[in-house]
Order: sequence, then structure tokens, then C-alpha cells
Amino acid sequence: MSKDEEGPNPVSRRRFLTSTVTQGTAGLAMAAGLRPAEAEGAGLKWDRTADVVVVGAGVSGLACACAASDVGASVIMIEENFDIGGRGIMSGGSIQLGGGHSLQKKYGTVDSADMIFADWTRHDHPASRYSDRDIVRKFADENAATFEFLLAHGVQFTGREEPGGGASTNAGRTYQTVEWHIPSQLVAPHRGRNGSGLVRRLEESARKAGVEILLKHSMTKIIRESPLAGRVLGVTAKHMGKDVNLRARKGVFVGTGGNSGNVNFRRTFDPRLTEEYQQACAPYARQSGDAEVQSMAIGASLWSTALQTSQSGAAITKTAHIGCQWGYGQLVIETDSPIFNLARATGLTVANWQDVIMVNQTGRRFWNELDGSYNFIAAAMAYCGDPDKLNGGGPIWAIFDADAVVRERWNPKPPNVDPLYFASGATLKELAANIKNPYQKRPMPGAVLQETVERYNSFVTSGVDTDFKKPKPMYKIEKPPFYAAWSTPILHDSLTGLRVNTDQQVIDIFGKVIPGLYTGGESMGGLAQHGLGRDLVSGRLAGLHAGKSPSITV
Amino acid sequence: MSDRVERGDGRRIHPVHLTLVLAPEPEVDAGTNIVLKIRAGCPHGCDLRGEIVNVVASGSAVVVSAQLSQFGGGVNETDECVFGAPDEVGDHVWMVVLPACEAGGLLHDEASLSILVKTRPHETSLAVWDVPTPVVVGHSFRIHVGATCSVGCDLNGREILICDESSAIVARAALAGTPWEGTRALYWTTVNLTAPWNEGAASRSVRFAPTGLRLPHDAASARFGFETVRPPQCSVTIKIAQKDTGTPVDDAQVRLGVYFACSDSSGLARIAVPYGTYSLDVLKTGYEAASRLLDVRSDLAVDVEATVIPPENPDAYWLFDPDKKTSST
Repeated sequence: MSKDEEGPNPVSRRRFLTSTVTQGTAGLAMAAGLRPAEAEGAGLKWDRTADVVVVGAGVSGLACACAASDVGASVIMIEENFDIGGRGIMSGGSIQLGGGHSLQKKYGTVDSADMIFADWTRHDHPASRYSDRDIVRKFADENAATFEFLLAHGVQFTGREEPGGGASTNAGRTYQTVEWHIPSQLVAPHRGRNGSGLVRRLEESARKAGVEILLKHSMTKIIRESPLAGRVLGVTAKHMGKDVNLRARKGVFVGTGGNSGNVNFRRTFDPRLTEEYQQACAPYARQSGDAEVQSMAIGASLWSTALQTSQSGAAITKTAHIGCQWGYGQLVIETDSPIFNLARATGLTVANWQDVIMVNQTGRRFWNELDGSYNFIAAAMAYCGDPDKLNGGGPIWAIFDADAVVRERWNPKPPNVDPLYFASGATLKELAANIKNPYQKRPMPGAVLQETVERYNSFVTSGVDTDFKKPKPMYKIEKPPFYAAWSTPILHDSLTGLRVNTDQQVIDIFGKVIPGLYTGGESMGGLAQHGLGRDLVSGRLAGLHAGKSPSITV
Repeated sequence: MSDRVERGDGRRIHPVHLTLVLAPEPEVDAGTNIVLKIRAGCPHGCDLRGEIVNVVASGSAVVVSAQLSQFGGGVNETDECVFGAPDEVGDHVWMVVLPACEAGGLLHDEASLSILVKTRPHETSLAVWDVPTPVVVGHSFRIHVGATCSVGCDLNGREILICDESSAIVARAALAGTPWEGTRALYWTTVNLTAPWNEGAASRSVRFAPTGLRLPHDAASARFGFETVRPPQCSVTIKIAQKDTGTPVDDAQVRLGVYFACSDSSGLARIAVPYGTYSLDVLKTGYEAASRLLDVRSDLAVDVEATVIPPENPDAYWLFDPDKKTSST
């Protein structure tokens, strides 16, 4: 049994009364005048204890665990999935970190923390004008150190350097990790998901340092001394139907990958985001919003919410693969993926949007299909006339014919398509009648779809799309069979989240630190940089601060 | 629901209540199957297995019988039973009847339930394909027309009509016997047509009103269009090559006004046109070529440089490029 393994350990009222909150943030609970008798932790049976409890084994959580271990803290990490990695294991592995680190120096790239700060506080771009500049300053200052941290933890990089990562100066600031070398430990084999190399290396390093990773543990509650005051003591997780209470002597880090998968929560930012929309990393990473919801349940605040709806970055995107429920970008779940049974189809990758038209659930076109901007997304989410569904735009379907199948070299059969998200028909009316989908609440009127296609075909003949100005519509949709493939937009980034200070401590609705609670990655607010750079810096900062914090002793 | 008392011997009679576990749609296609699953419940939870439930048409004829074969939770159920909807369109009523019976020494009252179903004609629909465009005025051309029925009826030999803008019939054809590949029952035919003599956009309608079928079918119509043009007077040869390397670009779509062509392996596409001014566009995935206007007064050869579009960075969305990937600032 390790130093932190222990049997059921009731925190009795008496023991709680005699517990010693030594100093620092932990003292806030006492300073707030809380009576320990009120503490929600009283009477709980702690199943496990560590200095730092990390919720979510994604990129920010792994960085937090490694950093906390680096400063001598014991760490228990819980993950609701059957494996680690979160969204990171599905990513392409491009890490946006700069500030003058060793690899930049090797490439002769001139960069600095000040340049990063300048980029991410620009007033002339919506992705940066709403940033919290205190958060950006710390992020910028810690970029280079975080990159060196990755190297120290065994993360390997390819030889490629790309501009980006917010570099208005076009400085090379994007570096790609080497894909993990064991195919059976990939979630999306064959598709260059190099983020696997990042998370697996961090996992490897964390395990070597003694971090214990508990899979299939889903956080259900953050335990605070009292519901809206005092220190965070630990979390409750559900495992195999049973509650497991995990105590944190120094801090709890919650990093659950953002909230795109939580319909109720995501609509806080945009009421249009109803249930029909795809998620970028589903069906592997849930993006449940658990960190946000459970933190807010104990008083946490959101922050910089404008970032989520600034219509920049990749909060929501056009689909890339059609005819499957999850069709994000470069991510294809092949048949040998361990989650193919959940994905059910690989999808048909669209090479040329001239080959299809896109219609809403009423069978009407709504925008130029060649466009992928937020204007397209807004049109896809527009009210489509269903009096029972005023918010959200409902399903979007790509409509095409047998000639398009030949041009695109598609094989429109399972496992390439999912019968629930794909239909075919000998005529357009038959096609409309064959669309049976959980989100298609009303039958698509066949006559409307036929009229839509006949009209579009007239645009192909004349060369001018007088409805939506699709440039030079090229191909008529006329040769049977006809097809309808799920093409509903995809929710991707959570661009903001919980309010934190520069040590990644969560701030409550009154502007005060919630002692013992940390967050990062896409669960945090204040900086809308996509993905790995933000995740890594914030996770590492949280791990360092929590790991160095004084322990609560009981 | 309370028990009734038999007059003769004073025994109590249990009531029975019928419901449909599997009910038909309110509207079904004429002549198709109706599937039912019937539940019979006695408030005392009696096991009525073995009793027969009849579905009776309005003329008292039993259309299907089903045995109560399942018992659980105090209720009895039949397996799925199937009978045919009438061939005629209209409202139809059936009675589901469980005759009075004795089960386990206990008397059970007769129970019944009515089912109302409306039968409708089969829906038909059309597809029109391989419509050439443009077509020289007064010239003949061919199209394909197919028709299908919502139930998959055999439409072999049924007639389709092609009408012009004034609804005058310009062609007739009979559907052939083999459904179009990849479809269940799209019966199709080739139709020969003649383009009108006036230049410009033309449209035609296809009408299908099947007669002589055993079951009633609705009519269907569809519309298609094409451009008519003057006879060609000269030839335009477009040579498409990759910028910088000069490599021919094959399989590129060429659009010259209302004319279409595709480049061959030498990157060549030839289009015969009458004199005039045309917009030239070349499209191929992964390439970019500028549009231009061509004033065609004689045979013409045009070189088009197609620039290779660099493969999209798969992680483009992961980057923050102030100049791209945003639609508003």
C-alpha cells in the first residue's frame, strides 16, 4: 500500500475540529469565519487521499499531474473514460508554444514572451480583443518554460516548425509532437493524430513519477467545506456505480475538456446550440462541462464569455465527413479504432463541395455550399420554420446523386455511412421519405426537396446561383440513386470557461479565490487560444501552485 | 371496471379490456399489410392464453385470428398478426373481438376494440437524368426518365409523358421492365426529344399518371431544364497546364458560358461554339485558375495556367491566423 492508499477514513467532526490549516490559501476558510461543523466534508468517508487530485486525464490534467509531481506532491488522477488522453489523443498534436524556447533557438526563430502577449491582446482581432490580459501575461511568460517542461517529460517533436499560434509576426510558434508508436494505444489510428504522442509521453512520465491514474472514475461532485464557502477538500467520483471520495491535501484540479458536449451548459453562450450538433472529439471525449458545472455549483464564476461567441477560431465548424454522426476535420474513426463501435461509420470525406447541395430539415437550401465561414454556420442554425423547434437549425443534409459518388470515389455503404445518419432513394421524393433520424423531428417534404433540386439544377444550366451565389455551380443532381448524408455543423472549442487567477486558482462569483480548486485547458476562461498550448501552460501552472501549496493535515 | 353477474347460475363474469401493443398507422398505402399486436387484460390478472382474438371486417368476415400466446404481469398478448389493407382508397373499420370465454374455471366477458385506418393511393415519384445542356436549336437529344412507387409496385409498361412550357405533349414513352441499378423499383426508359427553335433557357415537365394497375396510384410530375444554342461556328481548344511545371491537368471541368467540357490526359478540352463572348472557367479540386472572358470570332486556342493550391493544413483550425479562417472582425 502506498503512502496515500488507505482504507475508509471517516472525517469525523472531532477530527475535523482538530485539523490544522497551516497557512496560505487554506486559511481563507478559517478567515471567513466558517464553523467547521458546517463543513461539508464532515462525516464523509475518504476512500483515497493525495496531495493533488486531478480530474480529467487530458492534456491540461496530465500537465498538472506531471508538474505537481515535479515539486514533490503525490497525485491521484481520475478519468471517466476507459483510457487517458481526452481530446488531446484525438488531436493533430500541433503545440503552440513559443517565447524563445530551445527549439525556436535551434531554428533561429526570434520570439519572446512580450511578442506572445502582444499577439494575444490584439485589439484588431476578435480572438484576442476579449482576452483577460492578466491571464495572457502569465501565459506568455510561461510559454518557453512549458515547452522545456515537455522536453523534460519525454515529449518528442517532429522537425517541423510552422507559423501560427497567434503569431502576428508570423514567428514559428507551432511544433508537432511525434505520434505514439504503439498502434493499439491510439484512438484514431492511421490518421496522423500526433497528439497521441503528447498525452502518452506525459502519461508515461506521470506514471513513472508515481501518479496513480484511476480510469472509469467520473467526478460527480466537488467537496467544499460548506456549499459556497471554505476550502475545497476533494471530489466524489462514480466508479462502477459506487461513490468514491478522494481527498486532496493541497488542491483539486478540474480539467474536463470544455463544455461543447453539454447541451444545457453550452446554450449559456449561444441558445442556438441545441441537441443536434456534432462534437469534434466525440464519441471519445465527452466535453461534458463537468468542471464548469461542478465548480459553479460551489460558487465559481465564468469569465470572458465574449470569447465564446466572438465568431473567430473554431468554436463551431462545417463538417468534413458526411453520412456519419461525428465528422470533424481530419479526424476519422477507422474500423480498427477501439471506439468504432461508438462512431459506427467512418463517413464520406468531401473533396469538393460542388458535388453536393446542403439542405435543412425542410428540404431547402440555405447558403452557398462552398462557404465554410461563420456566415454559413449562422445560416445552418437559422430558424427553419418548425414551430416546435425555435432554437437551433435542426439537421443539415448533404444531397447528392450517383454521379457525385463516382466523382468523389465514395462507397456510400456501411461502414462508410451510418444508416441512422444517411439515406438513399430512387427519386428525391423517395429519398426524403427515407430520412429517418433522431433529430429529424418532422418528415422532410419530398416535394420541397424535389423543387429545391430542380431549381439548383437550373442554376447549373445557367451558371448562376441566383439564390445563394454559389460560384459557378458545376454539377446537376439528377442521376439516381440519390443520397442524403448528415452534415450538421460541429461544435469544437470551448473558448472560455471558469474564471481563474494567474495561478489557475478558480475564482468565485464574488471575485474571491476558492481555496484548493484549480482549473485549466478548455475549462478555464480568459484566453481563447485553441488547444494544446493553453492546456499545457495552464495545467502546468496549476500543478506547480497546487503542488507547492501547504497541506491540510488532519 | 367491475365484474358482471351471470343471471343463470349467479357466477361472476370478469371483464376483459383490449388494447393494441402494436397499432397500425392512421394512414397506410392501399393493399399493403397491416400489422397488429393485441393485448388482453383482465383486472384479476387471469391467464387467458390459448383464447383466440379475431379481427373482423365491416362485413363480418374474419380477416385474421391470433391466439393469446404470451402471459406476463397479469396481461395476455398475441404474437404479431398481419392482414391486408383493402385495395380501395378510403376509411376502413375493423373490430378486434375476443369472444366470451372460460379460463381457469372463471367466466370472462366478450371484449372488443375498433380500429380505424385510412388507405391512400400509392405515391409515385420521378427522376430525370442525363439531360444534355446546351442543345443546338431544333436538334434531337435523349434523356432518361424513371418512375417509382412508394410500395415498389411493378411499373413496367406504364406510360410517361413529356410536355413543353405550354403543357403540350411533346413525347411519350413506356417504362421498361428492369429497375435502374442501385434502386429497388425505379422503372425507367429513354426518351427522344427535339430542342425548340428559340435560343435560351427551355424547360420541360414529365408527367406520370399510371393507369391499369391493380392498386390506386397518385400521379407525379417533375421538371427539367436545358439551354438551347445556335449551331457552332468555330472551335475553342483549351489547354490546361500546371503553372510553373507546365504539366497537363486532366479531368478539369471547363465551363465556357453555358458549355461544359472536361480536359483529357493532355490537358485539352475542345468546345464547339457559335461566335460570341463567353466566360471561361476551369475548375478542379486542388487547383485554382483565373476566370476570363473570351471573344470568339474564329477557331481559338487558349492556354490556362492552373495553380496548385497547397494542401490545407490539417490543423488550420488549431492556429490563430489573423488573416484567415474568420468571417468577421
